[in-house]
Amino acid sequence: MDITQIDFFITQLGYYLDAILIPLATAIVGRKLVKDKKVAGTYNPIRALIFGIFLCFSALGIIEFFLSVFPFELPLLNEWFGGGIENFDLYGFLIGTMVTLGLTMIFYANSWEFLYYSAIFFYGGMLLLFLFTGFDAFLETYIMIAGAVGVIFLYFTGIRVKDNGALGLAIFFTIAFGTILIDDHWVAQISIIVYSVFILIFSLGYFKPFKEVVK
Amino acid sequence: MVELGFMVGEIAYFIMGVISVVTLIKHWKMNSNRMLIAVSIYVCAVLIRSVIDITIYAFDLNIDITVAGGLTIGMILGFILFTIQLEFLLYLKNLPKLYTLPLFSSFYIALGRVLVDTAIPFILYAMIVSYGSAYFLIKDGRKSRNGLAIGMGLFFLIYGFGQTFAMIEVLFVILRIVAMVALLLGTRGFYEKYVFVNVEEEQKIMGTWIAKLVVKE
Repeated sequence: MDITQIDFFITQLGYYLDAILIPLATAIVGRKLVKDKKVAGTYNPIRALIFGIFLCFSALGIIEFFLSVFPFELPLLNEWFGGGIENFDLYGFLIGTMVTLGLTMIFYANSWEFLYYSAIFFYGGMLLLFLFTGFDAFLETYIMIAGAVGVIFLYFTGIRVKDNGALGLAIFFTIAFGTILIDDHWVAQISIIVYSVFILIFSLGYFKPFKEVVK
Repeated sequence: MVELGFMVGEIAYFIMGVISVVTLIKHWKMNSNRMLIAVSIYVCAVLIRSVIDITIYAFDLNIDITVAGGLTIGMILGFILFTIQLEFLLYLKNLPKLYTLPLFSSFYIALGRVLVDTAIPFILYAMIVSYGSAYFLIKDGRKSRNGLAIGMGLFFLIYGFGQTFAMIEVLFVILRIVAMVALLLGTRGFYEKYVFVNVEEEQKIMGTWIAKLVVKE
């Protein structure tokens, strides 16, 4: 097996794991969310936000799978998807939504009531402005800053309130954003495999560095 | 001559605003109601705009400079007022989760005004904020028999109506004065005294009147 074959194998494995494990993890989180609702009567906002983040990530994984592995050409989807965070195409929109939901989760976890919807309002405003004027110059800066702030605060919140969910997402976001930021093919491919496996462990509830679980 | 008339109107508007603020602060000293301070801050913001307008009329200055695109200084002041107004309404309705909404909506509409040369989003925003605030305040004011809330509601309604007709300056200035009169009456307790009918008191009077008739017969 030469280096080209290994590269092909790891890349293909990454696409398959992205398209299978992440939707599976999303389904598990979704099931827990519905189960919780039946017991408590209302949706747990933190769990709902985690579900939203996973859903966006699943969509990304599935679309990337179709565009890279699927034997047929999908020109319309290819055009819509884009592939960078500079523009408001499907890829930029989904990454932006994930970052926004991550920030909202931090505000909820810390009970900063007046900030609960602030990230959603800011991102929603940006999206509406884009729809009406075509202006999306803030998106990349927003994703970079909000992503970095989000990850730092998720670690901070996870350790401070001993929340497995926040800490798990912090680790997941660190690896996931690493793949966007680090411009190295091998590191990116291995990262995809690592976070796909990690996300499954997390959604199954086996990631428990803190024994006391904060609901 | 017309400018002089506008200036006199604006000065009257300003004086009524100052009287309203003084009355509100007096009431606040007596009952320490934080709502009165919130209303005072809003009226002060309105009065800052009024000082600028008086300066424009007095020295014939045109400070309504275009900042970028279609965004002018006057519009920025309008956005600040709408933000405070919406913030005030959210505070009244006890909706802390929405406190950041006015800031972001004003920011993006202002940015949109820079990018696209149309005032329609600004006018729509002004209408929604003014009429929405007016509706809730008048409704709540009627329900709780609160003259200040009615005064504020009428102020937002008439002021917002004036903003919609900002192009017709005479109408705009007159409506602003009428709005300030409505607010002044609210702060002075006019609506409690003369508008809200005290049902219990009226029934007592009616009762006495009917009783007297019965005794006479």
